[in-house]
Amino acid sequence: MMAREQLKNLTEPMYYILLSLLNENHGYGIMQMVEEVTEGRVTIGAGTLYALLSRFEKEGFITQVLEENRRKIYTLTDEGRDILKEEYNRLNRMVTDADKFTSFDGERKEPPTSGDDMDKKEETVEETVKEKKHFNVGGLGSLKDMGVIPV
Amino acid sequence: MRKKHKYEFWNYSILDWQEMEKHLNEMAANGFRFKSISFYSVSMACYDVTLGDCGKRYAVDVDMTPTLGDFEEYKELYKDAGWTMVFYNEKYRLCIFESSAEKQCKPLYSDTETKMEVLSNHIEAKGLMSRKIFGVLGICLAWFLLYKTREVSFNSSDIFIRVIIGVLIGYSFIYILKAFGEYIYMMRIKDYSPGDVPYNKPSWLNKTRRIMLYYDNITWLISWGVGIGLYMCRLTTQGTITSTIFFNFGFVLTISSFLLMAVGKYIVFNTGKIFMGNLICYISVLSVMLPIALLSKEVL
Repeated sequence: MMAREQLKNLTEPMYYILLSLLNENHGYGIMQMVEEVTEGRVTIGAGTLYALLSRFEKEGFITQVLEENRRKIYTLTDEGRDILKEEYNRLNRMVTDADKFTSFDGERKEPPTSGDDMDKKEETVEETVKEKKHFNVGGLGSLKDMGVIPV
Repeated sequence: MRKKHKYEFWNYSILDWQEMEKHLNEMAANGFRFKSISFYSVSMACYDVTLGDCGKRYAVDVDMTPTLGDFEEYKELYKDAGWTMVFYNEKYRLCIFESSAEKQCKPLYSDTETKMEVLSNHIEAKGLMSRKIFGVLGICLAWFLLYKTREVSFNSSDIFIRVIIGVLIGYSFIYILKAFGEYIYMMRIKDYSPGDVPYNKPSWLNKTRRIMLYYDNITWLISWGVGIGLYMCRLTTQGTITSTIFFNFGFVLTISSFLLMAVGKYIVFNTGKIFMGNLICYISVLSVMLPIALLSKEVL
């Protein structure tokens, strides 16, 4: 699964592990930092951490800086920073979207009823599909175009 | 004198990681501290007996280092999190970690996705799914050949042969059922995607695992009985017990094969001379199998 399927979206542990690698850090440091910063809301188990670290290293998101007492110290690569930035933007957009929704006072859109405006209907469908794609991939579409993530 | 060790038969595979963890933790709570497993010939686990709850908790993991990273880092990272590796088997890539119950260490996997992914990688790397298919095919082929050559038949007049055939049919049936269940389980693991509801093994699959354990032991007992029976036949038909030294030695070896196995396992668990212990286990297996291979033609 790991080799076949590339990253589509960051899961919560992935996001926090990448965040804690903004500065150089080792495994134990990551576990402690995530727990401390999130005030215990997010904990990362050793197995999860090891599997994800190895996977990130394999995919080139993080790199090993040095090794101290058999503990490897990692930091983000440029590619990793891009991924993290994209995810950050996506999450930010989700929050601002939520604000927009709560303050939304437009009218409810009614579906087209008569057969006369079929052309119009098709157009709207196409538009929504485009828009949906944009939201689903959460900004990774542009990443794909940049060639960062092979999809 | 108080008992120091407890031994038990072991037939958990890596697919039974949940049951394995549960079992080890239950044993620990009842005062049996996990020591080691010996997979050679007959799989057995050994525990140290303590008074009351031994205060340890266990977690089972698949060693991901062959596909992912380096072993020392893996061990060190787990140790930092409070989990010390107490058992490792290279062949099955099975790791058992121990932590103290007071520390209340976090589970190894804080999310299901990663665990499923690790298992899925393991299944792929070890070709576990194709193994199940070949196992079932092998059993079918064996029955087909037996049927074709008419070497054995369930309608045989000999009650002993009928019992053996019955046991074998039962064994094959349970084996195929278990392989089928595990195949589906592995498919579910491989198809797992984030957000899915975790798939738990159906309870009948656990039952097949337990039945297989009984079957293994029954098979040993029957083989042992057949071996001794063959020696006795040879004795009654071909004269005295002192026919050859080799024969006598073999007879004694077969009778004491269970003792040999016990001694072998004891050496493996308690003295650390694993090669020596395994060699004795090997001789024990041979001593059960040899008379069947050598004498069956002659006597029958």
